[in-house]
Amino acid sequence: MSDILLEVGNLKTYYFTHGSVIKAVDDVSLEIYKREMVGLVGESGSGKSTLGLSIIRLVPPPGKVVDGKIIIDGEDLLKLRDKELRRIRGKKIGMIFQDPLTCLDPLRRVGDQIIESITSHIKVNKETAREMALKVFEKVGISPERIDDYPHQLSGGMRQRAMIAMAVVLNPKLLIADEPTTALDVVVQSRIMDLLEDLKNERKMSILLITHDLALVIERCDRVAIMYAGKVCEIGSVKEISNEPLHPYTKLLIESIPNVEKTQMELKPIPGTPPDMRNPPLGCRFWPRCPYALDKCKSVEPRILETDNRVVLCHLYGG
Amino acid sequence: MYTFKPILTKIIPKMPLKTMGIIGLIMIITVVLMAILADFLTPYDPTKSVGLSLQPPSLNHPFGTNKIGQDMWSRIVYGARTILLVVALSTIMSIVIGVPLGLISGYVGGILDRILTMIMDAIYAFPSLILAIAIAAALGPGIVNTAVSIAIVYVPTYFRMVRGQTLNVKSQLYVEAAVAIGASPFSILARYILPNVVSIVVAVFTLSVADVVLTEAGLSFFGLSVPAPTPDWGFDLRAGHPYLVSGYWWLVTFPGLMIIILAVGFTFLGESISEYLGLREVRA
Amino acid sequence: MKPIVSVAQLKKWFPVQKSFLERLFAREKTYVKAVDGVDLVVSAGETLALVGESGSGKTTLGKLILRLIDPTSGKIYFNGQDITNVTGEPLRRLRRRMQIIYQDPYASLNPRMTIGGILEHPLKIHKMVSTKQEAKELVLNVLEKVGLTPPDEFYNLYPRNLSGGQRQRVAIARAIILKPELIVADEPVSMIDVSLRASILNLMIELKNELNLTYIFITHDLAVAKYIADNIAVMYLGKIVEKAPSIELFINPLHPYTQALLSAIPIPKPLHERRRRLSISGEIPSPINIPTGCRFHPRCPLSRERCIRDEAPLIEVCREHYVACWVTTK
Repeated sequence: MSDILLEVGNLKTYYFTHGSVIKAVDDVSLEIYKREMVGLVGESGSGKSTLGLSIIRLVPPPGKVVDGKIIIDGEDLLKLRDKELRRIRGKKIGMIFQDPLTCLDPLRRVGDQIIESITSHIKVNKETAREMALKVFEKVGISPERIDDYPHQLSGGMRQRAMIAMAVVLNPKLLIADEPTTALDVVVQSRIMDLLEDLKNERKMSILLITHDLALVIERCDRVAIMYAGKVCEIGSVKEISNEPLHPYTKLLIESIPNVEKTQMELKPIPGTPPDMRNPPLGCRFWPRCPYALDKCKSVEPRILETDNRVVLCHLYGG
Repeated sequence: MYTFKPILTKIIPKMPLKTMGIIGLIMIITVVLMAILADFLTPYDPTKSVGLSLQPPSLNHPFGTNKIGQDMWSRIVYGARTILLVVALSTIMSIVIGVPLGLISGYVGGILDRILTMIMDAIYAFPSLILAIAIAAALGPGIVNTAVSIAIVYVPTYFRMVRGQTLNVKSQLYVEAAVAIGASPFSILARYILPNVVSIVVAVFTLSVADVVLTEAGLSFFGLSVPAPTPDWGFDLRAGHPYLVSGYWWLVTFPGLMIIILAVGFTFLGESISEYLGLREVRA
Repeated sequence: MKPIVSVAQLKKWFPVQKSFLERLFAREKTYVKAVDGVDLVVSAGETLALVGESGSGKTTLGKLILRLIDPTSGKIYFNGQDITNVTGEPLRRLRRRMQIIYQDPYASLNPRMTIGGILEHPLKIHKMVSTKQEAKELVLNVLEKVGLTPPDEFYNLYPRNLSGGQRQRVAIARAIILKPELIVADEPVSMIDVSLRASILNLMIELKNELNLTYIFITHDLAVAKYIADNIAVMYLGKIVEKAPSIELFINPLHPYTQALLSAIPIPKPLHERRRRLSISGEIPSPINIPTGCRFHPRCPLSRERCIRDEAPLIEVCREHYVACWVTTK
């Protein structure tokens, strides 16, 4: 009996711009199990957002998924047509973004938008849909009378909750959250994360949390995948990764997390800059910034190493 | 002109924009070359009677002659100068008046902006040809006067687009940054706002110049443009019109065709450029 | 220490845009009270962090101090001079001494000017150079200082050729080229990759020491504030609720809002292994409808009757540590 909810296999998503091809997601494999929160951590250019968009099949042109498989409930999403994908979005997979206004139409009442989302997926009448909307509002912590408000009448945190409400009202099995709390202050962030955890437990939902904040992931997630320049460098449980990071990038990322509990706080930068994705370095893409780079790393791409749910992409471990 | 439209709309959607732009450019360049090389393209003086009246196209007179015996080919070729001059002059005037006013109105705002916008909206509300006719009638004939009438009609178009873009750019962070370093309003307008507004001026130009061509043709059709015997396509169109029923087709066809070529040429080029600049929603 | 900036009872209220009908039937005007009565003194040479969530008024306060916005009421002093109402040419000349670094490196540089042009423009405005050669030298010099080497290469590039981190360095260069006394930095690293933030922050610290600058550093990230600031002022709904030296604030936060903020900072240890957090309920109210009395009272776990009635003043509780709270200043 498989506990796997979503399987991403050798996924490649490229952006075809005039003159160059940006290999935003370049041969990524990842599994998400049922009822877990997986953190997908990376910086700009890592491909993490593109990976999220690829799963829900919303990669904007000039981007295109060129290879691989994305299997949920036995169906390969890459083989489905638009009509079937629309059925899956919202019902099986939901997505929330950093800016609620990407999902919420500022000119329509939030209640109406959720109702429309419901009725376009399942056959219920408007009253039932409205009841469902009210219930999910309550669940996400918005008082029911706000259902007829316009997005601009809600505060930032509440708009975020409204977006979450819209994404989970039909009980999807997977929620992809792309930087949902980056623009919010830590208090609101903490409460939104509480809500997401709650939803995960209560509705047996899995969450893919895409973020640059490794501390947040270690605090809240079950497992974490680290991405750099279009590749997954390391996957493991949060405990393993924080106690014993394998990949040099993971190590440096963890070291760069400021420790506010120390009186004399230090910030350790990672030397160098993220690569230009039109021309990534040959061999291992991290080698220019890697303190442990071997000669081999500069020309040969490492292979994935898998043991016991731990994945690492690095020559240091025989990859 | 009207028989050509259905064919055009069938071809156009299928044509890639780059090709369209190139075709348009060729059409315009042809006319421009005609105007420049007029002296070499024909031995005849277009204002003088050089042949028998109402002769169909022949070796001596490739486009035939009109009632007065003027060579049509010469009138077409020199007529290119007339229309291009008027179009160029009026466009320059529209830009020189409309753009700075749009910049200042957008940047300064307040009462000045409201008054200017009201005036411009009022002018804009008139159908372009009718307004041009009214002004041209008042000013009298002549290349400069015609250019002025047309210029006035198109000033609001430049004004509105530039003002809109100015308002847009004004709210950009780098403009506030310029204020923060102590730049004077003039400096901000010139170095920060204007360079970011130029592209929209180009867009407006490319899309409205076809209209200007037709307006000039319209004015000259009503005899309000340049005085005879200056060669002028619209004028010839009007002059030749009564003879059409009698079968003298060459008097109307060639001027009409030239006007279409110039207008369509500018339209093709304009659509192509504005697509290239990424300005799909700009409609003058 | 000599104060470089001081503000007294500073307020900025933005009128709310209403439709015609709303204006007909409204009984009174409504305002977004972005900054609602702030008293603050910044000493020369210090780095003060203004911390708060979006809507707290921290950015508005920063821009008021730089006179990029006009205050609704209150006073602003710069080096002892009253700059509350200064406008026009005197204000433009004043700008030489106070600069800003914006949050968004993609939007704050004119896309149509070269890096060289962007950096020379302030020099020309304030007539700090007399020849083109002089200007170019100063620009190359400052490019070197902010780590954009080789400077001649960057001189001719356009912002679109640079990465976010590089653009922010240009923004920093622009801020320091006039050798100002005060720099307001508005979330300068929040749009920069995490791994690059430390190098930008370290650069800012270096420059501060070299050029004797004073920073007002606006951020919502407490860790960044702790790293870079000498003193931290916490803002909530347009007022300062607590102000203390950084280390003191972290060891001994007195205001319930500060305590909640600190306990919500994600720490890289799985949550269940950590102590329970102090959580606060509700959402931040809109700055149009500010609660009566202490504006934090609807969400405060310690709120009493007095808190609903009266607004607590900001008082010094121990050396340099100010709090505005009835309960914790008993």
